[in-house]
Amino acid sequence: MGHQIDDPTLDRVAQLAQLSVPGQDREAVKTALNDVLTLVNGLQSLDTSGVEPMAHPLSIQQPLRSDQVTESDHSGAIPHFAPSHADHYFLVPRVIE
Amino acid sequence: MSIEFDSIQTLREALDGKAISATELTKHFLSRIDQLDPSLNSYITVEHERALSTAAAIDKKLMAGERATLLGIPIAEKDIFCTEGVRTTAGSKMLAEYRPPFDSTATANLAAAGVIRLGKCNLDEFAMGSSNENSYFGAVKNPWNQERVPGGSSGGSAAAVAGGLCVAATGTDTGGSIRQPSAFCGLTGIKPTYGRVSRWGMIAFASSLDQAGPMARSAADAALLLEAMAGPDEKDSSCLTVSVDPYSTLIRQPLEGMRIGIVRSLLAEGLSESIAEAFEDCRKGLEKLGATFVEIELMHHHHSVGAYYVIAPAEASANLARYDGVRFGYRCEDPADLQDLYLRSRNEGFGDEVKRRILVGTFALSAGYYDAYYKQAQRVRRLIQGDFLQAFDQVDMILTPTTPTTAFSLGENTEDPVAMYLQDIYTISANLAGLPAISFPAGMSLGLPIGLQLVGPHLKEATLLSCVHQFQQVTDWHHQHPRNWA
Repeated sequence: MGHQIDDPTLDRVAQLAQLSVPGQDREAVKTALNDVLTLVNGLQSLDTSGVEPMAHPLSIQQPLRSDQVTESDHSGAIPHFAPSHADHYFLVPRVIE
Repeated sequence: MSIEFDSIQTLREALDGKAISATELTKHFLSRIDQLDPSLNSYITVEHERALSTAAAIDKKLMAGERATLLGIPIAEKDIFCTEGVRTTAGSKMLAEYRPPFDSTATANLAAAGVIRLGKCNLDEFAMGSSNENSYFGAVKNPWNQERVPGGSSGGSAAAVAGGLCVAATGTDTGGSIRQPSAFCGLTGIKPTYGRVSRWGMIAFASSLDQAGPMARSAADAALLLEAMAGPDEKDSSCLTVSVDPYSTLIRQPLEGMRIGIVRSLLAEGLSESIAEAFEDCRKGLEKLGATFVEIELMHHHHSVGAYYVIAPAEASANLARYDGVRFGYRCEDPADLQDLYLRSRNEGFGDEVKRRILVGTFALSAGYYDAYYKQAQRVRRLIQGDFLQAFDQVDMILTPTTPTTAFSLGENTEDPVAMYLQDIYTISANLAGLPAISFPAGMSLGLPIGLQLVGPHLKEATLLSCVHQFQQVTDWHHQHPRNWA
């Protein structure tokens, strides 16, 4: 099984990723992505039936910490990291007319 | 004064014996950076004032008789570790002006141990790359030969240590980003077991693979730094809760009786002749020290690059979704509407390689492809880990090359992402399996360092460090420095 990225797939993926691929770059991007897919398509030949997918390298239980407040409230400082803010709010272009 | 290539132990004795002050030592490195780094580009930010004020405070402590192994040792940090009030760029335009409100745990641990931070080192954008050519802040050059890359993604850290612009540096390793640049620059660099060093405050690339570690001149130096960096951390739930071994003591363990695995198939096609020869010399050297060699197989190893280039981009595409131009980081000029703000901020803020990996990862996670790519890669990941666990029934560690070649030329692989990805063929599997792995210098070819790698069972960092330390007692590859360098 060897999937290839065609124009409609590229558009759909770019939209999901919130990226755009300008016209002059499309062919180069498609070629690069398809080269990567060719590299990873080798995985498809492997019989993995009965193998549990491994999401994490260590099969340890997530430790829980005690339910205690360890830090003070930074909500006043956080908006200052934003490119545009007012009071406690992040500012973006108007969304609701 | 020629102390820039001294070991931590030598500097420790000089500082404690008052042969030099922390301020003098810091000034020495800062002046070397000012003078020499314009040709390497290994630092993104040099912290002159902060380093000197830390040094002054440490001199007072030293005068008062305070002693600690890393007290007053000048190091550099990869610019992916958050540093309070000091810009932390991850090599990206997206974070070019980001000043975090906190220190990463690794940074805080090192500061508590008394190191002096000289600055923040260049890297491939968001740690994605094997040559340090993907940085918004420009490519880094290898001090051994400035027409060559230092490796990546921790290329700035490697070049700075190799060039004598700091004593040691921190790195991060998602698929080889500590070990490959260590190999290219003649350093000893260890990627610990996944979860050994906290990831808190380390800007995320692929969260199930990322791990921080030291890049140093020797196993002895790396052991001291890892001891300080590692340890449990309540702020990172994936951080291991077991206590840290005393690596700097355990490195004195003899090699006698150690069984080391060799994988023949990894020594065949694609490996440069000079590295194959260095491998054989190293094997003989370790045998003389009492190790025995056992041939083993890692059946699924050849699938590791494929599995990695599904899993790492998939995790990256999720991690990098946070950069939307709204809450922090770069925002485009005059967005027409919210959608335009998202799209242009991301398009203008990310470089080509980062965008390529986000697109691959988004594809692998998208409806209709998830099972075929992402789930299949996770299954292969388990098979790869299983091979290692089985091998460690027979051997204490496995010796492999770190890279197929020595440092390649700037621009050599930039047009071919897949050729660049294959650079990591020997290093990726340790990340997939979560295992500790160390690269150490074991030869030279045409004036460029050769690195070899040892991979060990989970939490056996001390075994790897002691093996390399014993090797470094009878070899001098780690004492060699760039000749045409100041």
